[in-house]
Amino acid sequence: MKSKIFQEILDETPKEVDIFVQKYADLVLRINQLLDEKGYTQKKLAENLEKRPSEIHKWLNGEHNFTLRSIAKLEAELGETLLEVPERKFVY
Amino acid sequence: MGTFALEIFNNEGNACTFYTVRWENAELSETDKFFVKFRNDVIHKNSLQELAKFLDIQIGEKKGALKEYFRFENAAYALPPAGAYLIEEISISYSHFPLRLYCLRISDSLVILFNGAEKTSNTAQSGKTSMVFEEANQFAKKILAAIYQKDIFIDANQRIFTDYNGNEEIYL
Repeated sequence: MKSKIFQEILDETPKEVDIFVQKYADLVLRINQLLDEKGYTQKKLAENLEKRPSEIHKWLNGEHNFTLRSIAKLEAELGETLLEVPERKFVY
Repeated sequence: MGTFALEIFNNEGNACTFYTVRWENAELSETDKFFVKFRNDVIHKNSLQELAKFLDIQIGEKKGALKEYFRFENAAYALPPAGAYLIEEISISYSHFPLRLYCLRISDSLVILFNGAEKTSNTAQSGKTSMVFEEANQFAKKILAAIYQKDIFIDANQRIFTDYNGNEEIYL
């Protein structure tokens, strides 16, 4: 059972919105969980990345869009993969 | 406070069931009112669609109502023995998301959605969110009291509310 109005809105939603929401939510969740696991504070992360704490706060609270460079910096610092691009599969 | 129904909003996901509240004799639930309010709003339509997908796929189907997805608000109701519950906002963490939808998160798999509004001030208690936030608190207070007084029950899987007779049609 699902609200009829809610289902209609889901049906009207472009595929790109669906993809963006899932990727963004997964990314923010993974970063926050890794920071927790590795015992990072926002202050420590800012120091290690030589960024202002306010900038890190914006990254982690969604007030600043991620760029590929900012994701690369985070991957390097955390030592974990955040984004993976699938390789093309060749069929012989 | 008048009588309202506690009814299913979306129970099709594998990870989380969403309930909503509907005033007795009202055609739409409070959460439907929120979606109707912004559905054809040129400025907020896209954000509303993002929020809908976030609820349906990310929370409902894939991850459940993880605490990372919710933003705590100030008003708290602490009812023993279950501990403290807070009115929360569904939070999509990116650039100045303009809408706020209020809810009561019972567990990772059970959330009650209320109404919401456009965020126009720094606190839920002021601006355009103030009325729906206040109302969300009143709904939450009555629901929590019903749980505490054992007028309603949550099943072992934390997915379904029933009354003391096992009925799923609940009026509070």
